[in-house]
Amino acid sequence: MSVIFKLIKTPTHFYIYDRSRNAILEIQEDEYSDFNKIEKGLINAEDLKILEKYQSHDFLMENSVEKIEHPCSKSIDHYLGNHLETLILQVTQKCNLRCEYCIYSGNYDNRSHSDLDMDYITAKKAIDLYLTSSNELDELSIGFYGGEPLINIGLVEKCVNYISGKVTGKYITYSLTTNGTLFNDKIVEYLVKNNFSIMISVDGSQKEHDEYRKFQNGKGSFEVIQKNLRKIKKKYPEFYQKITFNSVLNPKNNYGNIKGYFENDELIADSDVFTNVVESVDLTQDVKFTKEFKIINEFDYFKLYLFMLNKLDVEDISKLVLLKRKFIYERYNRIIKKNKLGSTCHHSGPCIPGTRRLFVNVQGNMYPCERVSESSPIMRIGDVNNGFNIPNIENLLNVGRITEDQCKNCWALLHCDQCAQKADGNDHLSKKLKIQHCPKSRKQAFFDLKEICILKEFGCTFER
Amino acid sequence: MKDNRGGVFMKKIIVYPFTYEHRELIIYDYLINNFKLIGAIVLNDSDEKSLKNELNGFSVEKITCNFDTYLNECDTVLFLDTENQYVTKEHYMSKLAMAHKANKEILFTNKCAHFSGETYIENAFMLNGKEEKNVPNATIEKYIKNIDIPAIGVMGIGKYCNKLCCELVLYSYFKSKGYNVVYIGSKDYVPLFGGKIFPDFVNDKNFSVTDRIIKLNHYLFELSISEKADIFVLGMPGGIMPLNNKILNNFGEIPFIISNAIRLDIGILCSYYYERLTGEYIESYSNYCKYKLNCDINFINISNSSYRFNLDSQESVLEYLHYKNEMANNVAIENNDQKIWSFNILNEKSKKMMLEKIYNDLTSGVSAF
Repeated sequence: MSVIFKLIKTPTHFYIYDRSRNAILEIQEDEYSDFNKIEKGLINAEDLKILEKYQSHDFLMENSVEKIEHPCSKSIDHYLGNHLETLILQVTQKCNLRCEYCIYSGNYDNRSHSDLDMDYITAKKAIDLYLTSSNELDELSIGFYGGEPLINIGLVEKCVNYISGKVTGKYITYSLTTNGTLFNDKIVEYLVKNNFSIMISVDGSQKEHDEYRKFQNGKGSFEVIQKNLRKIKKKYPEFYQKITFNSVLNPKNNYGNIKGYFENDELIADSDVFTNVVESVDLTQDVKFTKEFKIINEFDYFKLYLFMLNKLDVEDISKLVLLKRKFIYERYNRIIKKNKLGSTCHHSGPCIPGTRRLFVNVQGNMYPCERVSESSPIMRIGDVNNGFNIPNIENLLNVGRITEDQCKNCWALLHCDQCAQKADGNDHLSKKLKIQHCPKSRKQAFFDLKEICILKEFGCTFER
Repeated sequence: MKDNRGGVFMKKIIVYPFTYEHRELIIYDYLINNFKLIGAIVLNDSDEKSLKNELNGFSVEKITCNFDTYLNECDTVLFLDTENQYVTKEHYMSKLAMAHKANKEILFTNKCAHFSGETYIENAFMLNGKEEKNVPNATIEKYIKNIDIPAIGVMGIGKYCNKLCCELVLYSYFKSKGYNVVYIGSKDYVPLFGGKIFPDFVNDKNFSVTDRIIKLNHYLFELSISEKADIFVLGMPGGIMPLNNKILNNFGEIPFIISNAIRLDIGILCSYYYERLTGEYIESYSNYCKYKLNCDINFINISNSSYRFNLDSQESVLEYLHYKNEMANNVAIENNDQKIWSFNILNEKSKKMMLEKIYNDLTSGVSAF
C-alpha cells in the first residue's frame, strides 16, 4: 500500500498535501504525528486507522499512477498543425555588445556569437509554417530576437510587410527584444507605427549594468541606452509606456542599488520590469545569493503577502515581486479543484515543445523556445524546410519517462517545474542531469504549498 | 438555371466570412434549401488550407479565399456573423460594396445585420423573416400549455459541440420519413436549411425568465397547431451551464427557458471530446439536465472538438481544438450505468444507429394521453 503525501507545518497549524487529489487538508497535531511516522517509515500506512477517515471521503487514496505519459502525447500533431501560439525569429546572431554572461558570449556551452543573419527565404518559410499552424487562434504573436535584432532591422521590416500582406481578420502582436543601443529616429518611428512591444535589457543602475553589458571596446552601454530612452519618452510617450525591461540579476551585485534604480529612476520607475537570475556557468549548479540579496528579497515578499491580505496598498509593493501574486493565485486555483489523479499522467513543467514559443534560428532550425540550447541536437525539433520532428517532440514532451520510477512516487509530481531543458544532455535526455534538479524542484514545490497554507491562515481570499 | 436536385431553380449562393464555426454549411451543403452553395469564402489563404484539411471528406472544394471570382458566379451573397472579434465592420463593408456593385442579392444573418444598419442597401435582406406576430400575450395567460407532440431537444456543453449537426440530421431524417417537422435551430443561419430561429423575446431581458418561458410555451403551442407539426426538433443556443467561475455561459439561461417551455421526450447532450469518458462524468451532466433543465438525457454526442483555457488567461479565456472527426469514433463511456447512448454525429454508421434508436424510442411506446 502506498499513499503519496507531504506533511506541512506552520507555526500554528498542521497540514497534509494529498497527491491523489492535489489537495491540502488541514489535520490535527496527533494526526500529523502519525503521518510523520509513516513518512519516516516507522509504521505502515495500512496500520494507521486515521487513514480510513480520509479515504472514506476519497482523499489520501492509494497511489494510482502506473504510467508516466503526458496527456497531450496523442494530440501533439494537432497542436503543432493548428495551435502554434508565438513565433520567435532569430533574425541575426550578431550583437554589438559583449556581455559576459550572455548565452552567446562563449562562456556557456549552449551558444556562441556568429556573423550569421537569417535570410528572407528562411524567414518566409517560418512565417508560412506559423500561419498555417495557428488557424485555431485569432491572435498571432511574432517576436524578433537576436543576437541584437536591430542589426537586421531590414529583415524585421520585410517580415512585417509579408505578414501584413497575408493576414486579415486576426490580431497581430509584434515584439522585439533588444539591448536598446541601436535605436535611431527611423527605427523608432517604424516600431511605433507598427505597434511593436519592446523589451529592453537593463541590469540596474550604471554601475551594475556597465559591469557586464559592454560594447566590444569594453565600454559600458548604459549611457547610450539612457540617451535613447529619453528621446523615445519625449517623442512617443504613449509608446514608451509599453516598453518593458528585462533585468538579469547578478547576485554578486548590490541588490539594494538595483532595486532602488528600477523603483525610483525617472525613466524606469513607471515601467514593468521582469527579472531573472544570471545562470551559473555550470548550469547544474545553483546560483549563490548574497545575504543582503536574500534579506531585501524576502522583505519584498513579506510586503507582497501583506498586500494580499489587504494590509498594504499596491503602491507599497516592489514591482519586482508584484507579478508573483498571479502565480500564487494560479497555484491556489489548481489546488482547490481537488482533481483525482488517474493512472497515467506526467509531471508538470513541460509545454508542448514548439507550440508556446516556437523559436527559429538563423539557419531555420526550430527549437521549443528561445531559452534552450541551439547547440544541442536533442533540442532541435525540426526545421523550416522539413517541418516538425514529431518523434523528438514527443520525446521532449515526455521527459518524465526518463525518471518514471521516481516520478510515480514523488509527492511533488503535480508541482514540478522541470521541462526537457533541465535534462539537456546534448544528444539525449539525461536522467542524471534531470535528477540533479529534483531536490530544488521539490524544495520550491514545498515552499509554494506552505505559502498557500500560511496565506490562507491569515485570511487571504486569493481573489483580486 | 436548373439544379440536379429535381430540376428546381436554385440561386447560387456564396457565404462570407466562412470560418470553422460555420462548418455545417460545408458538411450539409446538400441540405440547403432554395440555394446552391458554390463558395464558402475565407479570410486568408492559410485559412483555406487549414479548413480544407479540417473538413476533409466533405464539400471542401467550395472553400476558397477568392471572393472576386466567386462573386461573379453567384446570385446571392450571405454575410455571416462570426465569433472572431477581429473581423471588423471594414471587412464586411468592403465585400458588401463589391456585392452591391455587382448587383447581387445580399443576405445577412441577424447578428451581422448591424454592419449594414447605417446605410440603406438595395437588394439587401435579412435571412430570417420575423415570425412573432402570433405570439400570445403571456401576461394574460400565465400558465404552461400542454403541447402534445414529441419534442427532441439538442443541447450542448458549450460552443463547437456539433449541436447544429445533430439538429440538421434529425430534421432531415424525420422529414424524409414523411413527418411534418418544426425545427427551431441553435444558429441564426438555420433558415438556410429550412429551419426557424427562436423568436427575439427568448433573449429579451425586459421580460422575466418566467414570462419568457410562458411566452415560448405559448408560441410553440400555436406553432404546433398552425404548422400541423408531428414533431419538434429544438436546438438550444448557448451552453447549458458555466464551465468554471469565469466562463459562465449565461448560466444556461436559454436552454433553461426552452426546456421548461416544452417537455422534451428525447434529450441529446453534445459534449466536448475527451479521450475517455467515465460514467461519473456522464452522470453529473445527466443529473444536471434532469434537475436543472427538467429533461432526461438519453443520448450523448461526442464531438471532435475540445477546449482548453488560454494559458495566460487564468482560466478566463477559452481556446478550442478541432480534431479529425475520426477521433470521436472510439470514445467509449466507462461504467455507463446510466445506459446513455453515445454517438458521433459525423460518423455515418454511428449517426444511423442513433437515428434508428430515436425513431424506435418515439414510435414503439404506448400512445396514451
